[in-house]
Amino acid sequence: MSYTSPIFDSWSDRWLDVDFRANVPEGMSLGAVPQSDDTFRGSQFEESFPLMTDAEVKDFIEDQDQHGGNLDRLVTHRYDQNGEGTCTCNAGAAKYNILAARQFGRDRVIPQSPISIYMKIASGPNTGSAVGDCLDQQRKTGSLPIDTPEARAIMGEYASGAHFMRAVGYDRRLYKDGWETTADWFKVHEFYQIDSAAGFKTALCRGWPVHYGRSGHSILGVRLAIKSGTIYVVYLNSWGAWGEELNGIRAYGLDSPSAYGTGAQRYGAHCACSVIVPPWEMK
Amino acid sequence: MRRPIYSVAVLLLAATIAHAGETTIRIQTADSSPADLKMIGPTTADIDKPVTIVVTGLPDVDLTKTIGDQVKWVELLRFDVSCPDDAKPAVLEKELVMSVSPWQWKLRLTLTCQVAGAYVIVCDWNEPPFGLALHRVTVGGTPIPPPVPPPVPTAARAFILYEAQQLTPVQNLLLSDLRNDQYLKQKKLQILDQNALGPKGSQVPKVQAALKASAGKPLPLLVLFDEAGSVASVVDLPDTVAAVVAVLKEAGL
Repeated sequence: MSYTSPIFDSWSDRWLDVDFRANVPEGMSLGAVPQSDDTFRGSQFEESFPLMTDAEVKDFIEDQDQHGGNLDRLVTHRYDQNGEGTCTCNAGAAKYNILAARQFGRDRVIPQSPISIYMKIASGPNTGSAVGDCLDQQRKTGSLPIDTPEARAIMGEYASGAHFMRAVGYDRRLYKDGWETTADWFKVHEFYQIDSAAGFKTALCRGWPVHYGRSGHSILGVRLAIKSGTIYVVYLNSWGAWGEELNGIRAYGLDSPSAYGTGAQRYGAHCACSVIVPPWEMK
Repeated sequence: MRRPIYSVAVLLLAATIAHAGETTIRIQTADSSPADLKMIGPTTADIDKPVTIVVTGLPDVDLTKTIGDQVKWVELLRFDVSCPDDAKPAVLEKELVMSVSPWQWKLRLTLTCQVAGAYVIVCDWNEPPFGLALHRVTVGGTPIPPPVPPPVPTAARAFILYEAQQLTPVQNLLLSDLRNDQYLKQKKLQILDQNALGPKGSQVPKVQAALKASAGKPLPLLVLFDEAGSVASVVDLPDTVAAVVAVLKEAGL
Protein backbone atom coordinates (compact mmCIF):
# COMPACT_ATOMS: atom_id res chain seq x y z
CA MET A 1 0.00 0.00 0.00
CA SER A 2 1.47 3.34 -1.01
CA TYR A 3 2.17 6.06 1.51
CA THR A 4 -0.44 8.80 2.09
CA SER A 5 0.37 12.12 3.76
CA PRO A 6 -1.51 12.59 7.04
CA ILE A 7 -3.10 15.87 5.91
CA PHE A 8 -5.45 13.78 3.75
CA ASP A 9 -6.92 12.29 6.91
CA SER A 10 -8.54 15.58 7.84
CA TRP A 11 -8.39 18.00 4.92
CA SER A 12 -11.51 18.56 2.89
CA ASP A 13 -11.55 17.97 -0.86
CA ARG A 14 -13.08 21.43 -1.06
CA TRP A 15 -9.56 22.91 -0.97
CA LEU A 16 -8.17 20.73 -3.74
CA ASP A 17 -7.55 22.42 -7.10
CA VAL A 18 -9.77 25.34 -6.16
CA ASP A 19 -11.04 27.19 -9.20
CA PHE A 20 -10.08 30.61 -7.93
CA ARG A 21 -11.99 32.52 -10.59
CA ALA A 22 -15.23 30.75 -9.70
CA ASN A 23 -14.69 30.80 -5.96
CA VAL A 24 -13.42 34.22 -4.99
CA PRO A 25 -14.82 34.85 -1.52
CA GLU A 26 -16.91 37.96 -1.06
CA GLY A 27 -14.67 40.95 -0.57
CA MET A 28 -11.61 39.19 -2.04
CA SER A 29 -9.83 39.57 -5.35
CA LEU A 30 -7.50 37.72 -7.63
CA GLY A 31 -4.83 39.80 -9.36
CA ALA A 32 -2.36 37.61 -11.25
CA VAL A 33 -1.83 38.26 -14.93
CA PRO A 34 -0.13 35.72 -17.20
CA GLN A 35 3.53 36.23 -17.91
CA SER A 36 4.51 37.92 -21.16
CA ASP A 37 7.72 38.43 -23.06
CA ASP A 38 8.36 41.48 -20.88
CA THR A 39 7.91 39.69 -17.59
CA PHE A 40 11.11 39.36 -15.57
CA ARG A 41 12.65 35.90 -15.49
CA GLY A 42 15.55 34.80 -13.31
CA SER A 43 18.24 32.21 -13.96
CA GLN A 44 16.81 28.80 -14.67
CA PHE A 45 16.53 26.55 -11.62
CA GLU A 46 16.84 23.41 -13.70
CA GLU A 47 20.32 24.44 -14.85
CA SER A 48 21.57 25.20 -11.34
CA PHE A 49 20.22 22.31 -9.26
CA PRO A 50 20.17 18.56 -9.86
CA LEU A 51 16.54 17.58 -10.30
CA MET A 52 15.04 14.91 -8.07
CA THR A 53 13.12 11.95 -9.40
CA ASP A 54 9.54 11.39 -8.28
CA ALA A 55 10.76 8.42 -6.23
CA GLU A 56 13.19 10.71 -4.40
CA VAL A 57 10.48 13.31 -3.92
CA LYS A 58 8.15 10.68 -2.46
CA ASP A 59 10.82 9.59 0.01
CA PHE A 60 11.30 13.22 0.96
CA ILE A 61 7.57 13.70 1.56
CA GLU A 62 7.52 10.83 4.04
CA ASP A 63 10.51 12.35 5.80
CA GLN A 64 8.93 15.82 5.70
CA ASP A 65 5.68 14.50 7.20
CA GLN A 66 7.61 12.81 10.01
CA HIS A 67 9.28 16.16 10.76
CA GLY A 68 5.88 17.86 10.96
CA GLY A 69 6.15 19.84 7.75
CA ASN A 70 8.42 21.78 5.48
CA LEU A 71 8.34 25.54 4.86
CA ASP A 72 4.90 25.78 6.45
CA ARG A 73 6.82 25.58 9.73
CA LEU A 74 8.47 28.90 8.87
CA VAL A 75 5.23 30.76 8.15
CA THR A 76 4.73 33.44 10.80
CA HIS A 77 2.29 35.83 9.15
CA ARG A 78 -0.99 35.41 7.24
CA TYR A 79 -1.99 37.99 4.66
CA ASP A 80 -5.41 39.23 3.64
CA GLN A 81 -5.38 41.20 0.40
CA ASN A 82 -8.80 42.51 1.32
CA GLY A 83 -10.42 43.09 -2.03
CA GLU A 84 -7.39 44.39 -3.89
CA GLY A 85 -5.74 42.60 -6.78
CA THR A 86 -2.44 42.29 -4.98
CA CYS A 87 -2.17 38.50 -4.73
CA THR A 88 1.23 38.30 -6.43
CA CYS A 89 2.72 40.72 -3.92
CA ASN A 90 1.03 39.05 -0.97
CA ALA A 91 2.61 35.78 -2.04
CA GLY A 92 5.88 37.66 -2.64
CA ALA A 93 5.82 39.20 0.84
CA ALA A 94 5.06 35.78 2.35
CA LYS A 95 8.02 34.39 0.41
CA TYR A 96 10.29 37.06 1.91
CA ASN A 97 8.97 36.35 5.42
CA ILE A 98 9.68 32.61 5.14
CA LEU A 99 13.25 33.21 4.00
CA ALA A 100 13.77 35.74 6.79
CA ALA A 101 12.41 33.23 9.30
CA ARG A 102 14.98 30.69 8.16
CA GLN A 103 17.88 33.13 8.05
CA PHE A 104 17.25 35.11 11.22
CA GLY A 105 14.68 33.12 13.23
CA ARG A 106 10.91 33.00 13.43
CA ASP A 107 10.92 35.65 16.15
CA ARG A 108 12.98 38.03 14.03
CA VAL A 109 10.71 38.22 11.00
CA ILE A 110 9.63 41.74 10.04
CA PRO A 111 6.51 41.17 7.92
CA GLN A 112 6.60 42.97 4.60
CA SER A 113 3.94 45.21 3.13
CA PRO A 114 2.53 43.69 -0.09
CA ILE A 115 1.10 47.01 -1.21
CA SER A 116 4.60 48.57 -1.05
CA ILE A 117 5.63 46.15 -3.80
CA TYR A 118 2.39 46.19 -5.75
CA MET A 119 2.04 49.95 -6.24
CA LYS A 120 5.34 49.99 -8.13
CA ILE A 121 4.34 47.30 -10.62
CA ALA A 122 0.58 47.88 -11.11
CA SER A 123 -1.25 50.94 -12.31
CA GLY A 124 -4.33 50.48 -10.14
CA PRO A 125 -5.62 48.58 -7.09
CA ASN A 126 -7.25 45.87 -9.21
CA THR A 127 -5.26 45.83 -12.43
CA GLY A 128 -3.19 42.93 -11.11
CA SER A 129 0.44 42.10 -11.78
CA ALA A 130 2.69 39.30 -13.01
CA VAL A 131 4.46 36.93 -10.64
CA GLY A 132 7.81 37.66 -12.31
CA ASP A 133 7.34 41.42 -12.00
CA CYS A 134 6.79 41.06 -8.27
CA LEU A 135 10.10 39.19 -8.02
CA ASP A 136 11.80 41.86 -10.11
CA GLN A 137 10.61 44.57 -7.71
CA GLN A 138 11.66 42.52 -4.68
CA ARG A 139 15.16 41.92 -6.01
CA LYS A 140 15.85 45.37 -7.50
CA THR A 141 14.18 47.71 -5.02
CA GLY A 142 12.87 45.67 -2.12
CA SER A 143 9.76 46.28 -0.04
CA LEU A 144 8.78 48.22 3.07
CA PRO A 145 7.97 46.64 6.41
CA ILE A 146 4.61 46.83 8.15
CA ASP A 147 4.86 49.12 11.17
CA THR A 148 4.52 47.06 14.35
CA PRO A 149 6.11 47.37 17.80
CA GLU A 150 7.79 44.01 17.21
CA ALA A 151 9.30 45.18 13.92
CA ARG A 152 10.66 48.33 15.54
CA ALA A 153 12.12 46.32 18.41
CA ILE A 154 13.97 44.05 16.00
CA MET A 155 15.26 46.96 13.92
CA GLY A 156 16.48 48.82 16.97
CA GLU A 157 18.21 52.10 16.16
CA TYR A 158 17.43 51.65 12.46
CA ALA A 159 13.68 51.93 13.09
CA SER A 160 13.78 55.62 13.93
CA GLY A 161 14.64 56.76 10.40
CA ALA A 162 12.98 53.91 8.56
CA HIS A 163 9.92 54.00 6.30
CA PHE A 164 6.99 51.68 6.93
CA MET A 165 3.83 50.94 4.99
CA ARG A 166 0.48 49.33 5.69
CA ALA A 167 -0.30 45.92 4.19
CA VAL A 168 -3.25 46.95 2.01
CA GLY A 169 -4.79 50.16 0.63
CA TYR A 170 -3.58 51.40 -2.74
CA ASP A 171 -2.36 55.00 -2.44
CA ARG A 172 0.85 56.01 -4.13
CA ARG A 173 1.20 58.97 -1.81
CA LEU A 174 2.28 56.49 0.82
CA TYR A 175 5.81 56.50 -0.59
CA LYS A 176 7.78 59.25 1.13
CA ASP A 177 11.14 60.62 0.13
CA GLY A 178 13.92 58.22 0.95
CA TRP A 179 11.69 55.14 1.17
CA GLU A 180 14.05 53.25 -1.14
CA THR A 181 16.77 53.30 1.51
CA THR A 182 14.56 51.29 3.82
CA ALA A 183 13.36 49.03 0.99
CA ASP A 184 17.01 48.25 0.23
CA TRP A 185 17.16 46.38 3.55
CA PHE A 186 14.33 44.07 2.46
CA LYS A 187 15.37 42.68 -0.89
CA VAL A 188 15.20 39.13 -2.18
CA HIS A 189 18.74 38.05 -3.00
CA GLU A 190 19.07 34.61 -4.61
CA PHE A 191 16.22 33.30 -6.80
CA TYR A 192 15.58 31.06 -9.81
CA GLN A 193 12.98 30.75 -12.54
CA ILE A 194 11.25 27.34 -12.52
CA ASP A 195 10.24 25.87 -15.85
CA SER A 196 9.30 22.26 -15.07
CA ALA A 197 7.27 20.18 -12.66
CA ALA A 198 10.45 18.41 -11.57
CA GLY A 199 12.03 21.78 -10.82
CA PHE A 200 8.93 22.85 -8.90
CA LYS A 201 9.06 19.79 -6.65
CA THR A 202 12.84 19.79 -6.26
CA ALA A 203 12.82 23.42 -5.13
CA LEU A 204 10.33 22.65 -2.38
CA CYS A 205 12.29 19.58 -1.29
CA ARG A 206 15.42 21.69 -0.99
CA GLY A 207 13.62 24.30 1.07
CA TRP A 208 12.90 27.11 -1.37
CA PRO A 209 9.36 28.54 -1.40
CA VAL A 210 7.84 28.51 -4.89
CA HIS A 211 5.89 31.58 -5.95
CA TYR A 212 3.49 30.80 -8.79
CA GLY A 213 0.16 31.64 -10.30
CA ARG A 214 -2.86 29.91 -11.79
CA SER A 215 -6.51 30.60 -12.50
CA GLY A 216 -5.96 34.36 -12.25
CA HIS A 217 -4.47 34.10 -8.76
CA SER A 218 -1.01 33.91 -7.20
CA ILE A 219 -0.04 31.72 -4.27
CA LEU A 220 3.06 30.37 -2.55
CA GLY A 221 4.01 26.66 -2.55
CA VAL A 222 5.42 25.66 0.84
CA ARG A 223 5.04 21.91 1.21
CA LEU A 224 4.45 18.68 -0.69
CA ALA A 225 1.95 15.93 0.01
CA ILE A 226 1.22 12.55 -1.53
CA LYS A 227 -1.83 10.37 -1.99
CA SER A 228 -2.24 7.32 -4.23
CA GLY A 229 1.18 8.03 -5.71
CA THR A 230 0.23 11.56 -6.82
CA ILE A 231 2.38 14.43 -5.57
CA TYR A 232 0.46 17.54 -4.49
CA VAL A 233 1.62 21.04 -3.59
CA VAL A 234 0.40 22.68 -0.39
CA TYR A 235 0.20 26.43 -0.92
CA LEU A 236 -0.23 29.47 1.29
CA ASN A 237 -3.07 31.77 0.21
CA SER A 238 -3.66 35.46 1.01
CA TRP A 239 -7.38 35.51 1.61
CA GLY A 240 -7.18 35.74 5.38
CA ALA A 241 -8.79 32.83 7.26
CA TRP A 242 -9.38 30.56 4.29
CA GLY A 243 -8.74 26.91 3.54
CA GLU A 244 -7.10 24.41 5.83
CA GLU A 245 -4.91 24.93 8.88
CA LEU A 246 -1.27 24.07 9.46
CA ASN A 247 0.70 24.97 12.58
CA GLY A 248 -2.07 27.19 13.87
CA ILE A 249 -2.50 29.23 10.67
CA ARG A 250 -5.59 28.74 8.47
CA ALA A 251 -4.61 29.77 4.95
CA TYR A 252 -3.68 26.62 3.03
CA GLY A 253 -4.95 24.91 -0.09
CA LEU A 254 -3.85 21.97 -2.17
CA ASP A 255 -2.92 21.74 -5.86
CA SER A 256 -2.62 18.59 -7.95
CA PRO A 257 0.03 18.31 -10.70
CA SER A 258 -2.39 19.47 -13.38
CA ALA A 259 -3.14 22.63 -11.41
CA TYR A 260 0.38 23.67 -10.40
CA GLY A 261 1.91 22.45 -13.65
CA THR A 262 -0.31 24.25 -16.14
CA GLY A 263 -0.66 27.29 -13.90
CA ALA A 264 3.05 27.73 -13.45
CA GLN A 265 3.55 27.41 -17.19
CA ARG A 266 1.13 30.22 -17.96
CA TYR A 267 1.75 32.58 -15.06
CA GLY A 268 5.36 31.72 -14.33
CA ALA A 269 6.96 30.26 -11.23
CA HIS A 270 10.13 30.99 -9.33
CA CYS A 271 11.74 30.07 -6.07
CA ALA A 272 13.81 32.26 -3.79
CA CYS A 273 16.64 31.06 -1.58
CA SER A 274 17.77 34.06 0.45
CA VAL A 275 17.16 37.69 1.34
CA ILE A 276 19.56 40.56 1.94
CA VAL A 277 21.04 40.68 5.45
CA PRO A 278 19.74 43.96 6.92
CA PRO A 279 22.09 46.12 9.01
CA TRP A 280 20.64 45.10 12.39
CA GLU A 281 21.38 41.44 11.54
CA MET A 282 24.98 42.13 10.53
CA LYS A 283 26.36 41.84 14.08
CA MET B 1 43.88 -14.30 37.03
CA ARG B 2 44.66 -15.05 33.44
CA ARG B 3 42.51 -16.55 30.83
CA PRO B 4 42.92 -20.32 30.65
CA ILE B 5 45.35 -21.69 28.18
CA TYR B 6 45.56 -25.23 26.89
CA SER B 7 46.17 -27.83 29.53
CA VAL B 8 48.79 -29.38 27.32
CA ALA B 9 50.65 -26.13 27.40
CA VAL B 10 50.64 -26.09 31.19
CA LEU B 11 51.99 -29.63 31.40
CA LEU B 12 54.83 -28.92 29.04
CA LEU B 13 55.70 -25.58 30.55
CA ALA B 14 58.05 -27.21 33.04
CA ALA B 15 60.31 -28.20 30.19
CA THR B 16 60.59 -24.67 28.93
CA ILE B 17 64.04 -23.29 28.22
CA ALA B 18 63.93 -19.54 28.31
CA HIS B 19 66.12 -17.16 26.35
CA ALA B 20 65.84 -13.45 26.00
CA GLY B 21 63.07 -12.79 23.57
CA GLU B 22 62.05 -16.38 22.99
CA THR B 23 60.72 -19.40 24.75
CA THR B 24 60.98 -22.83 23.20
CA ILE B 25 60.20 -26.40 23.83
CA ARG B 26 62.25 -29.01 22.10
CA ILE B 27 60.12 -31.76 20.78
CA GLN B 28 60.52 -34.88 18.80
CA THR B 29 61.41 -34.42 15.17
CA ALA B 30 58.96 -35.85 12.70
CA ASP B 31 58.49 -35.52 8.98
CA SER B 32 55.10 -33.95 9.26
CA SER B 33 55.32 -32.00 12.48
CA PRO B 34 57.37 -29.15 13.93
CA ALA B 35 60.97 -29.97 14.67
CA ASP B 36 61.72 -27.02 16.91
CA LEU B 37 58.73 -24.72 17.37
CA LYS B 38 59.83 -21.21 18.32
CA MET B 39 58.39 -17.73 18.58
CA ILE B 40 60.86 -14.94 18.07
CA GLY B 41 60.09 -11.28 18.51
CA PRO B 42 60.05 -8.32 20.86
CA THR B 43 59.08 -8.83 24.46
CA THR B 44 57.80 -5.30 24.99
CA ALA B 45 55.30 -3.23 23.06
CA ASP B 46 53.33 -0.02 23.24
CA ILE B 47 49.58 0.15 23.54
CA ASP B 48 47.83 0.00 20.19
CA LYS B 49 51.17 -0.49 18.41
CA PRO B 50 51.37 -3.82 16.58
CA VAL B 51 54.39 -6.06 17.22
CA THR B 52 55.47 -8.87 14.93
CA ILE B 53 56.46 -12.30 16.24
CA VAL B 54 57.73 -15.00 13.90
CA VAL B 55 56.97 -18.68 14.47
CA THR B 56 59.77 -20.90 13.21
CA GLY B 57 60.56 -24.57 13.47
CA LEU B 58 57.71 -25.46 11.19
CA PRO B 59 57.93 -28.27 8.62
CA ASP B 60 60.33 -27.70 5.74
CA VAL B 61 59.09 -26.59 2.36
CA ASP B 62 58.65 -29.59 0.10
CA LEU B 63 59.05 -28.47 -3.48
CA THR B 64 57.77 -31.79 -4.79
CA LYS B 65 54.26 -31.22 -3.39
CA THR B 66 51.61 -28.69 -4.08
CA ILE B 67 51.26 -25.94 -1.56
CA GLY B 68 47.83 -27.19 -0.58
CA ASP B 69 49.17 -30.65 0.20
CA GLN B 70 52.12 -29.51 2.24
CA VAL B 71 50.44 -26.94 4.49
CA LYS B 72 47.72 -29.19 5.82
CA TRP B 73 49.62 -29.10 9.09
CA VAL B 74 48.43 -25.53 9.55
CA GLU B 75 45.12 -27.02 10.67
CA LEU B 76 46.94 -28.63 13.59
CA LEU B 77 48.19 -25.36 15.01
CA ARG B 78 46.21 -23.60 17.72
CA PHE B 79 46.84 -20.14 19.10
CA ASP B 80 45.73 -18.38 22.21
CA VAL B 81 46.66 -15.15 23.92
CA SER B 82 46.30 -14.69 27.65
CA CYS B 83 45.41 -11.14 28.59
CA PRO B 84 45.26 -9.02 31.75
CA ASP B 85 41.94 -9.23 33.56
CA ASP B 86 40.50 -5.95 32.37
CA ALA B 87 41.82 -6.09 28.86
CA LYS B 88 39.82 -6.40 25.73
CA PRO B 89 40.96 -9.48 23.79
CA ALA B 90 44.21 -8.76 22.05
CA VAL B 91 44.21 -8.84 18.27
CA LEU B 92 46.43 -11.60 16.86
CA GLU B 93 46.75 -11.68 13.12
CA LYS B 94 48.45 -14.65 11.44
CA GLU B 95 50.24 -14.74 8.13
CA LEU B 96 51.92 -17.84 6.63
CA VAL B 97 55.02 -17.06 4.58
CA MET B 98 57.41 -19.23 2.62
CA SER B 99 61.05 -18.21 2.87
CA VAL B 100 63.72 -19.31 0.43
CA SER B 101 67.38 -20.15 1.03
CA PRO B 102 66.74 -22.06 3.15
CA TRP B 103 63.30 -23.21 2.07
CA GLN B 104 61.18 -22.84 5.21
CA TRP B 105 57.67 -22.14 6.29
CA LYS B 106 57.28 -19.32 8.80
CA LEU B 107 54.27 -17.96 10.54
CA ARG B 108 54.25 -14.23 11.14
CA LEU B 109 52.06 -13.15 14.05
CA THR B 110 51.03 -9.55 14.62
CA LEU B 111 49.88 -8.75 18.14
CA THR B 112 48.03 -5.52 18.99
CA CYS B 113 46.93 -4.79 22.56
CA GLN B 114 44.79 -1.94 23.87
CA VAL B 115 45.55 -2.27 27.58
CA ALA B 116 48.85 -2.32 29.43
CA GLY B 117 49.93 -5.59 31.01
CA ALA B 118 51.56 -8.94 30.35
CA TYR B 119 50.33 -10.99 27.41
CA VAL B 120 51.38 -14.56 26.64
CA ILE B 121 50.97 -15.99 23.17
CA VAL B 122 50.64 -19.74 23.00
CA CYS B 123 51.29 -21.65 19.79
CA ASP B 124 50.23 -25.24 20.20
CA TRP B 125 50.70 -28.16 17.82
CA ASN B 126 48.04 -30.21 19.49
CA GLU B 127 48.64 -33.53 17.79
CA PRO B 128 51.33 -36.15 18.32
CA PRO B 129 54.23 -35.64 18.59
CA PHE B 130 53.02 -32.35 20.13
CA GLY B 131 54.76 -29.02 20.04
CA LEU B 132 54.33 -25.89 22.02
CA ALA B 133 55.87 -22.43 22.13
CA LEU B 134 55.05 -19.49 24.32
CA HIS B 135 56.03 -15.87 23.98
CA ARG B 136 55.51 -13.17 26.58
CA VAL B 137 55.00 -9.54 25.63
CA THR B 138 54.77 -6.78 28.22
CA VAL B 139 52.66 -3.96 26.86
CA GLY B 140 53.03 -0.31 27.86
CA GLY B 141 54.24 0.69 31.30
CA THR B 142 51.65 3.42 31.47
CA PRO B 143 48.56 3.18 29.31
CA ILE B 144 48.36 5.94 26.73
CA PRO B 145 45.10 7.80 27.22
CA PRO B 146 42.87 8.22 24.19
CA PRO B 147 43.34 11.51 22.37
CA VAL B 148 41.33 14.27 23.98
CA PRO B 149 39.33 16.31 21.46
CA PRO B 150 40.25 19.96 21.50
CA PRO B 151 37.95 21.88 23.80
CA VAL B 152 35.24 23.92 22.12
CA PRO B 153 36.04 27.51 22.96
CA THR B 154 33.53 29.74 24.65
CA ALA B 155 31.39 31.50 22.08
CA ALA B 156 29.23 34.59 22.12
CA ARG B 157 27.20 33.81 19.02
CA ALA B 158 26.90 31.25 16.27
CA PHE B 159 25.60 30.88 12.77
CA ILE B 160 25.19 28.20 10.17
CA LEU B 161 26.92 28.74 6.86
CA TYR B 162 25.50 26.92 3.84
CA GLU B 163 25.42 27.01 0.06
CA ALA B 164 21.95 27.00 -1.49
CA GLN B 165 22.95 24.79 -4.39
CA GLN B 166 24.47 22.20 -2.05
CA LEU B 167 21.78 22.12 0.62
CA THR B 168 20.16 18.69 0.60
CA PRO B 169 16.49 17.98 1.33
CA VAL B 170 17.51 16.34 4.61
CA GLN B 171 19.48 19.43 5.62
CA ASN B 172 16.52 21.61 4.65
CA LEU B 173 14.34 19.73 7.13
CA LEU B 174 17.03 20.03 9.79
CA LEU B 175 17.12 23.81 9.35
CA SER B 176 13.34 24.01 9.80
CA ASP B 177 13.67 21.76 12.85
CA LEU B 178 16.28 24.14 14.27
CA ARG B 179 13.96 27.11 13.72
CA ASN B 180 11.21 25.39 15.68
CA ASP B 181 13.33 24.17 18.58
CA GLN B 182 12.31 25.80 21.86
CA TYR B 183 15.85 26.09 23.20
CA LEU B 184 17.25 27.57 20.01
CA LYS B 185 14.39 30.08 19.77
CA GLN B 186 16.03 31.93 22.64
CA LYS B 187 19.38 32.05 20.84
CA LYS B 188 20.51 34.27 18.03
CA LEU B 189 21.43 31.58 15.54
CA GLN B 190 21.51 32.85 11.99
CA ILE B 191 21.51 30.62 8.91
CA LEU B 192 23.29 32.32 6.04
CA ASP B 193 24.30 31.43 2.52
CA GLN B 194 27.99 31.74 1.73
CA ASN B 195 27.04 34.32 -0.92
CA ALA B 196 24.95 36.39 1.49
CA LEU B 197 25.01 40.12 0.89
CA GLY B 198 24.05 43.15 2.93
CA PRO B 199 22.38 46.38 1.79
CA LYS B 200 23.72 47.96 -1.37
CA GLY B 201 25.54 44.77 -2.23
CA SER B 202 27.89 45.00 0.75
CA GLN B 203 29.62 41.90 2.02
CA VAL B 204 28.62 40.34 5.34
CA PRO B 205 31.81 40.43 7.47
CA LYS B 206 30.96 37.38 9.57
CA VAL B 207 30.32 35.31 6.45
CA GLN B 208 33.65 36.39 4.99
CA ALA B 209 35.41 35.62 8.29
CA ALA B 210 33.76 32.21 8.47
CA LEU B 211 34.71 31.38 4.90
CA LYS B 212 38.30 32.29 5.61
CA ALA B 213 38.38 30.26 8.82
CA SER B 214 36.68 27.25 7.27
CA ALA B 215 39.56 26.83 4.82
CA GLY B 216 37.50 25.11 2.17
CA LYS B 217 35.63 22.71 4.45
CA PRO B 218 32.47 21.38 2.84
CA LEU B 219 29.29 23.25 3.76
CA PRO B 220 27.10 23.45 5.78
CA LEU B 221 29.17 24.45 8.80
CA LEU B 222 28.40 25.60 12.31
CA VAL B 223 30.52 28.66 13.03
CA LEU B 224 31.11 30.00 16.55
CA PHE B 225 32.21 33.58 17.24
CA ASP B 226 33.78 34.94 20.41
CA GLU B 227 32.89 38.20 22.16
CA ALA B 228 35.35 40.12 20.00
CA GLY B 229 33.60 38.92 16.85
CA SER B 230 36.41 36.62 15.79
CA VAL B 231 35.79 33.08 14.62
CA ALA B 232 36.30 30.82 17.62
CA SER B 233 35.47 27.50 16.02
CA VAL B 234 34.21 25.98 12.78
CA VAL B 235 32.65 22.51 12.87
CA ASP B 236 30.61 20.43 10.44
CA LEU B 237 26.90 21.05 10.96
CA PRO B 238 25.71 18.15 13.14
CA ASP B 239 22.96 15.93 11.76
CA THR B 240 20.39 16.49 14.49
CA VAL B 241 18.92 19.34 16.50
CA ALA B 242 20.10 17.69 19.72
CA ALA B 243 23.67 17.55 18.45
CA VAL B 244 23.57 21.20 17.38
CA VAL B 245 22.22 22.20 20.79
CA ALA B 246 24.95 20.14 22.47
CA VAL B 247 27.69 21.96 20.55
CA LEU B 248 26.20 25.35 21.40
CA LYS B 249 25.78 24.47 25.07
CA GLU B 250 29.33 23.21 25.25
CA ALA B 251 30.45 26.54 23.86
CA GLY B 252 28.49 28.36 26.52
CA LEU B 253 25.64 29.51 24.33
